[in-house]
Amino acid sequence: MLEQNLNSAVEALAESLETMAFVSLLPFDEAPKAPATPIHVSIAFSGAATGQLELIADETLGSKIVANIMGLETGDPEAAKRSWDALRELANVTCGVLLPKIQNGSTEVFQMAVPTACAFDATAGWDAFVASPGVMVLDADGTPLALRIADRN
Amino acid sequence: MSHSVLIVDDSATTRALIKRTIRVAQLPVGDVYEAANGKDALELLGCVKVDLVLADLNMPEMDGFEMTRRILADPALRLTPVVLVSAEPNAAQFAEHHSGIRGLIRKPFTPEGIRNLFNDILGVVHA
Repeated sequence: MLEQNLNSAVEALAESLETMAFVSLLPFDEAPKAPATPIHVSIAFSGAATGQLELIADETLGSKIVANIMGLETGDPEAAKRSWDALRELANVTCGVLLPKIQNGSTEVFQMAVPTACAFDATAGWDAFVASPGVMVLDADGTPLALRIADRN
Repeated sequence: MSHSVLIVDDSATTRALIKRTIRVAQLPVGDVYEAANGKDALELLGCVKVDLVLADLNMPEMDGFEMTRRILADPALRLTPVVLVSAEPNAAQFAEHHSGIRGLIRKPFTPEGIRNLFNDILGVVHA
């Protein structure tokens, strides 16, 4: 059950976000509301384990990542233009950092799919998402960032 | 001496970061070419000569594994240094099995890692 690796997934996400974009992750004191403009990013993997890593993040976090990487002002239109791309890359990097941590001695090679991103209907899905197994919601520069690791059949 | 570089990565953010690192570090790089997948990169390499290819692995259309194999198998391209810049867990194994791959930088990378890479591969002296 990949949900047991949630702590490793959080560590991988924190390492990736900090190294890529100097954004730290903090715990929330209380259950946060959904991001205002949520983007759902998903990356599937197979090999020693078969599953997927998902993020739900506010579009502004993607802009923040780009701005920090590129030395732009947070409101710069160039940063906003690449926000979804930045969130996909965050998922890609996080997955790459995570998978060796869950190899568990297996010699089987992991394969990662290309990450995908789509707008997320927070009204319909946020509460159910954060209540599902293998989920943690963290504070990323003031916005909620939900992470889920789960088996994929 | 000015070098030319091809950055192959489906993430525009990552390509922009590498370009910015080159600029900020004042590395002696002239032309910087970009491609979002292996297929586009091979088409570009058919038209221009570069001194270094920085290659992601996990890309749509044609991944970096296939692109790198084709570069190393092409008599016109096989001497072009290829360095992997990747989050793929098996990137190191792939590099070990293909002697033409000159190095690997794991993602997430730092600007210092990119600068050091240029120094190692191209022998440039950075600021």
